[in-house]
Amino acid sequence: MVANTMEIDGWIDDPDPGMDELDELKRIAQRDEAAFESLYRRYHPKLFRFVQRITNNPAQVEEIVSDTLYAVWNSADRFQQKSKVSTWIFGIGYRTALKSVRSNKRYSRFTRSGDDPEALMDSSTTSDPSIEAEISDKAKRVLAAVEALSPKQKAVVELTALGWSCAEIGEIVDCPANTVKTRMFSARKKLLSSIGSTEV
Amino acid sequence: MTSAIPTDREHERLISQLPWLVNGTLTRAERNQLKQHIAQCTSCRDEFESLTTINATINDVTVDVPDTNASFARMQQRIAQDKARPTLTNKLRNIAAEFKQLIQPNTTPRWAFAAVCGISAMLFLLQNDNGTQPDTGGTYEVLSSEEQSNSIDVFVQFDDNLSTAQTALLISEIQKQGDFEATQIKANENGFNIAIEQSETEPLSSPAALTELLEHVRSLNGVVDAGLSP
Repeated sequence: MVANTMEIDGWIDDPDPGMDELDELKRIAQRDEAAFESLYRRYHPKLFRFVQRITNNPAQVEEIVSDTLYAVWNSADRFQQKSKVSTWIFGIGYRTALKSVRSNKRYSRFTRSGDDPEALMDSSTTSDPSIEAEISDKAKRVLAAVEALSPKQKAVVELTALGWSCAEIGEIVDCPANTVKTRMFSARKKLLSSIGSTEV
Repeated sequence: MTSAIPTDREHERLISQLPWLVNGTLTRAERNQLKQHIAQCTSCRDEFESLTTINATINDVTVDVPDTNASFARMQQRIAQDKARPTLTNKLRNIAAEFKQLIQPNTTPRWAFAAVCGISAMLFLLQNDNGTQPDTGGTYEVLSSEEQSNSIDVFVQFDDNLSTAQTALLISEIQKQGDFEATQIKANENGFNIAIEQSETEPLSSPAALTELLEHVRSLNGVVDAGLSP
């Protein structure tokens, strides 16, 4: 495994500290830098993981995460409490990442029809031989298939894996729950057909 | 246990919930219904197992996260630079933030807050000599005239009920969207005309970029309408 990795335990159990987070955001709206630092330290690793997985462009991830949290700092007073604080922040992260993907030349890689997961397997995930050895062939096939999804489908798959409900994902990607299910349905079909459902 | 065979439509609905059965976010009722179905349906059981493996595989991927301390230090620098930048929106924002701390919004009439922010903003701008002197007709030069050669004019009509501070933040939001700087902001009867400096990398003269920008601006809360100035 890679050194200095993020710890995701507790992520699914506590995606929204609720009122504490709302109070914190209100303090941020009043330019309370201590409150912002507290929020920053919690969300930086979570957003980093999410953005890295949907953009597949390590060079830009930190910039996207930074822009996202900077937008939180500047827009906290416009949070209307129509969603949880966590989904609002991830929504900003999602839109920032998507904008970056669109403007990136590498976007063509995601939108080409007929992307071959086998070919992507060789170029994605990791180039460290010692890590490669630890990942089973089955896992490689799964990750390569995820890699070949469109950014929007990938976001739904990743957010689901991270423990968000269908309704929360709808809030993050700003679409109805049925659209989330449709994207997941398409993604599921591609994943299962790419890796063969009986082989998983 | 009920053993009724679901219709195709019901089966499709149940299958569509499988990913969230795997991640444990369904309600108790949804979970029980789906578990009952899986116990009877081989294809759904297979798919449930596949999705469980896919989720576990994705979550097993390790991600190198840069040091959060260093990242936050860079953010603090960015905020400090932002505060120091002599733009109209930053000045209004800082003034608004200061007054928000002094005034309790719940007990102070909204118009009083808006008036204080507005007057303070005017005084602040009048005292500043970084190319921000007020022009006639409520126009404020934000950058020097040499820097305005590559600008286009956009009108934005705001909701009448917005306070000055909220208006300033909206302008800031509009700027952020398009990677551009407002070079001139002129109040009109219903809102503002904004001359915007185009980015070299993403010129707004591109119809798609401009359409995207205007769509976004129109979608912002507090914006009634937006478009190209006639």
